[in-house]
Amino acid sequence: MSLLELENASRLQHGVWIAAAALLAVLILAPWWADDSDLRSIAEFAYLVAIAQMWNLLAGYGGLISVGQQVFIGIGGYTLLILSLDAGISPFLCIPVAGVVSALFAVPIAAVVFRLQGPYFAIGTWVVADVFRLALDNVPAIGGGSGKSLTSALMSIPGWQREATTYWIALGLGVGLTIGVYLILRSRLGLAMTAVRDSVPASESLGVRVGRTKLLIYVASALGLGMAGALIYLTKLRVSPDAAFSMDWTVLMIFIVVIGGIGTVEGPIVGTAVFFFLRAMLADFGPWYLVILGSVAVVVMLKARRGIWGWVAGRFNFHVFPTRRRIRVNSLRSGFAEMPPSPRYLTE
Amino acid sequence: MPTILTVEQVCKQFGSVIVADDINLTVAEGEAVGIIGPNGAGKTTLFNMIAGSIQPTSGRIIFGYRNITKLRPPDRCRAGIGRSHQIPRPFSGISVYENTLVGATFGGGREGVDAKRRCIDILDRLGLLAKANQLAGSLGLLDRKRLELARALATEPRLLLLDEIAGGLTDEEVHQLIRIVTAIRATGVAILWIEHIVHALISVVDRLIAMHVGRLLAEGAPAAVMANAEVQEVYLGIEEP
Ligand SMILES: Nc1ncnc2c1ncn2[C@@H]1O[C@H](COP(=O)(O)OP(=O)(O)OP(=O)(O)O)[C@@H](O)[C@H]1O
Ligand SMILES: [Mg+2]
Repeated sequence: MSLLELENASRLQHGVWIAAAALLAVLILAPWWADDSDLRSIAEFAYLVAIAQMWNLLAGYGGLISVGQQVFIGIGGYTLLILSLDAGISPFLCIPVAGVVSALFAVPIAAVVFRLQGPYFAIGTWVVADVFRLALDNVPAIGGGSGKSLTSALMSIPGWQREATTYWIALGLGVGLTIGVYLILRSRLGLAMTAVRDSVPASESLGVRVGRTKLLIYVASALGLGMAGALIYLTKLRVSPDAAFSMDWTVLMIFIVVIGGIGTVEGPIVGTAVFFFLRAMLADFGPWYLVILGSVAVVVMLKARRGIWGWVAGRFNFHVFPTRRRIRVNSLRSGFAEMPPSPRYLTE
Repeated sequence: MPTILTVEQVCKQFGSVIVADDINLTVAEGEAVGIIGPNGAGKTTLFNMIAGSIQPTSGRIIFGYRNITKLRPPDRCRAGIGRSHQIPRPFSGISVYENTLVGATFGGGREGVDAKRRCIDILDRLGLLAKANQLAGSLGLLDRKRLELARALATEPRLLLLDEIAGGLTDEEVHQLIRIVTAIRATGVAILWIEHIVHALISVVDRLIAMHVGRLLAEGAPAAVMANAEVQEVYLGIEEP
């Protein structure tokens, strides 16, 4: 790659960042300019990005293919339900608490599912989620199989304030978890994760504590999903086991990540946009809607295995969130100048 | 010279197959020891037990003054045992530089600019610097083997386990490799090196160990071991001319 291309790419990157910051400012002000239905759509967009980021973190970077991540959405939803209805805690405050509760549950769940490898791991995660669903079916105190409404917990909050705060939290989760994933990837943990994804034996012999690394990612993912779960059910106003622990949540995460680009920070955002577009286009097709969504996913998997953003990034060598650690030509030179002279074994 | 590695009465069985049968050996600090033996002799299994990826059925492994028999592989790496895998296992989705950085960060405990410099220095020594930003998955066999070595070096080992790093290379490449290993030795790192290409081994090591079906057949000065009657018997027709 020539230096010129590099400069153009970084100029474009800066442009995208400025545009994104401007868009974010406009979105933060949305409660003053948008109507309720627009607010709900943007909030939904944001929380879908958030949950897709969490699945992407786990599968795209950690190599942990789970189909049971709905368990943490459900735990988040039920934490909100129990704390706001029974303990009288502010529903908004319940959201971070739900994240923590979900992360705490992730530790014993990991102890079970991490004993399983590959496809068995995937099936195990699903079984665990279903065990939660079936168990909650049998707890009448929190609504049993038909669930419970949250409306009474929200009645005391004025309408506009409720809508706006819910919206801001959704936006915060979408943006925050995206940035969070990006920061993790740039950190030590991110390096360990990608190593573990690519080869467990090599990671171990290079000093990476594989079990601990996987556990950290799993818990991080649960933290994000727990918060998102509570937020989601704050917008839906009713929590039931069948909905909260539904595999549909994970299917949606997988669809968005695969279409958008697995293993890229940009992928979940692109994937959510595609999902919204397709859903709007196919609104009149009834059940065909799912068939077409599935077909799109299959075509993307066959034709562009790294998803839409993976294809764009590969084709134009462009990243909004560059996660690769590169050695640059100039940093190399200064590096050499500062380094004590090393014997050059290979120069004759 | 103080001993850095002691393998004490180590046995390993896979089901009914015995792949290590009462193995005893020591390596002194800074010493280079070669291991030869026909395919299936149990050489890689011995490395796996020293590096911790396989638990011996019985026996002890002592590194420095520490019994490491129960330690997990990452902790053995952090303690100072570096290894290259016989079949290269690059992290194919990240760059050559990032591959090395994994070793420097976790095995070597270095951070930031310090880790970066260390990696650049090693990649330069191994002739991989020009490919530093390339995805490791795109490397050819020679470079993959070099990367195995580079990553292991980045962990700053006191004992380096090299498993057939010269296999499949041309004569010229083998010579390059000999120069590299000799230079690593000169920095005081102890080396255990498994290799079928005996002349490459002999040009670097002080001592040679011959293995056959899980047992140590002979041990000592390279020339003496190669002249040993039992070694000649199992080795005839296997050694390259
Ligand atoms: N995980 C395992 N389970 C069962 N048998 C194994 C296992 N690993 C190795 N073996 C067997 O142990 C024996 C020794 O294998 P090992 O890989 O240590 O040989 P080696 O000396 O390194 O051979 P080569 O020169 O071909 O690399 C072989 O017969 C092999 O089939
Ligand atoms: Mg072997």
